[in-house]
Amino acid sequence: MSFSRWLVLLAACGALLIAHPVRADNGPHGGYTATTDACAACHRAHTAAGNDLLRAGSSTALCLTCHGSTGAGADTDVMDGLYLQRDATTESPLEGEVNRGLKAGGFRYARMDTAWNGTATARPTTSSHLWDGGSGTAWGSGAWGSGPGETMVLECVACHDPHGSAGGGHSATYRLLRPTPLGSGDQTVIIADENPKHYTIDAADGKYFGQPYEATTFNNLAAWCATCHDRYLATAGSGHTASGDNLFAYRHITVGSGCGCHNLHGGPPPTGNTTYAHQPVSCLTCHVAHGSSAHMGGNAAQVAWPNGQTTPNGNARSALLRVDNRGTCQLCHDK
Amino acid sequence: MKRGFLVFLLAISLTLAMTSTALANGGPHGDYTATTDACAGCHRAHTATGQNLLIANNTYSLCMSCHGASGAGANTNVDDGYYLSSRDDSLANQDVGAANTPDNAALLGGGFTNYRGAAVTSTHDPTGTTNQAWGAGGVRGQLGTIDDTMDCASCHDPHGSANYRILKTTINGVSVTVSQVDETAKDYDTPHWPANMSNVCGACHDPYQHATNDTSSYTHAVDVTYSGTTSYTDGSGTTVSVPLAANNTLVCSTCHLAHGTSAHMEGYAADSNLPTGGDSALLREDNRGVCQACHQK
Repeated sequence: MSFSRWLVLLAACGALLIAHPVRADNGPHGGYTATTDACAACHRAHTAAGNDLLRAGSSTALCLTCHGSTGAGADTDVMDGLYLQRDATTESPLEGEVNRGLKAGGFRYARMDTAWNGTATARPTTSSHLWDGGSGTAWGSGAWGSGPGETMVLECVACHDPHGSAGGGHSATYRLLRPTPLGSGDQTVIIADENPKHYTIDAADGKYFGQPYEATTFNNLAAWCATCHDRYLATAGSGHTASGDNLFAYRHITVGSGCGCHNLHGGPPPTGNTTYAHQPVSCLTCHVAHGSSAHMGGNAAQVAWPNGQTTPNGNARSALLRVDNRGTCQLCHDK
Repeated sequence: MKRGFLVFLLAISLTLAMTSTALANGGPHGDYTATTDACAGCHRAHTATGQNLLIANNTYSLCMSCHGASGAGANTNVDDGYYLSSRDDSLANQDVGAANTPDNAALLGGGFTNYRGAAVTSTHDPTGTTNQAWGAGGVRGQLGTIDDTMDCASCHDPHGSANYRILKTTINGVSVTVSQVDETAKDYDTPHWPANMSNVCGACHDPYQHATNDTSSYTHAVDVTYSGTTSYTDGSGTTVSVPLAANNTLVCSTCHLAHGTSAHMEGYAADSNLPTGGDSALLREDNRGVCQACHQK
């Protein structure tokens, strides 16, 4: 290549570097320089509408100005659980498939094939994590023997750090997750960010079960869920060995290799479907983080809550599962 | 002989008292004796060209004749926002502040035309054409009307003052106290502000200083003590910093310059939906560098 062509190539590369500033955590979240403009995306010094000098009356209301159904500042619509191309930037590579379901599901609606019939349907969610500052029970939170769980207030910022860079040394964390969710206690789990980001499930037909994750991330996500749901963190063998807790005595594995599902005493593994046999197990194997539209009927609709309550029941007992009823069991165990 | 000597001593003392004019406010501004010459620095009794018998067409033009870019009567060039001790050499050559202010040092208040070598992006308007101020009338984020059009003499008393930097003791009808701190050793580039520095701003922008006077929105705390860090350097080596007033008090001037700034705004910081339309709002640093200096996100 001639010298002049090298110069042209170098100039083009330089132009690209200048024209596309990289934000480590996307949008106004993290990777701030000393003269960042990002503060002005969310805060007003003298005319704020809410606490912490926010532009909106609450942190959740602020988040939804970009991430809500009618937001225009972010492609991730967490209310409808969809990835949309609606912000001012066209990422390269794309960070999801447009109109496909977000990996976490959605808070009000989700486009999932929970019936496992090959059709992704956008439906109202039947269960979700609280997101608007309401209080509820974090099942399994607290020390062994402490009862069904502790009451917690949940809003977006309880789990996600809007300022990003929450990892050690100002590094980015996966989905801006706080190493210690607010109100969770004193455990710290840092999950390194993925690069490049990808927000949608792989299956074009909306099948959420079997969604692959990077192995370390998947494992760490289980530990992260357990910063609130302490007693649900269960290694291989927990289904056979009593924990000592009178409520959470025997527990399905929620962290570790899929090999942990093999019969420890020999014989055929309980995992009959080899499709998922060697995938690591995590909370996210069976559950989504934000909300699910899975339907529950029959026995699956009548399971009592850990505190003994039998209502709400029906679809409301879907417990953020990825598949209707107990599809998450059957797809692995293949009984 | 003894009586004559005493008379002589008294005469000498009186003479010294009359000629050693201690202009504590600098230049022709204040602490006048009964036989001061200072009036002739700015006024003409019978041939004035401007109102109030000024030797210029208006207050702003008069002030700029010494303090402007081409002025020769004062070392403080408020047009370009820097100090230069040689500016007044051809006139009074008093070199007020020269002992503590290096040549070409950036002035504490910023500049009206340029600052730190770049064109300003927002200023207080000293030309006597603006009579509005943010928050005047009681609502932050809204412009209200102040009691007169704004020029240098809206804030500064050319005849001297008991306040810091000859700030007027009544501004916009409001009594203002801003304590003097460096009258005997002026320093024009290093802040040595009193804790009540915000009072001059609050005279026009009251609800920004007194949050309870406007409860329709939330505002950053002012006139509070702050013990954290005020300087931040990012990974590329860019540093932002903000100054505090006495007793580590966060004042309006911690984030804003009084005269004008050359800070640049872009992206979210230039959003036209911002209360001031996305301009630099007299901020000290580009974008939201003033936030990062302390909050370091």
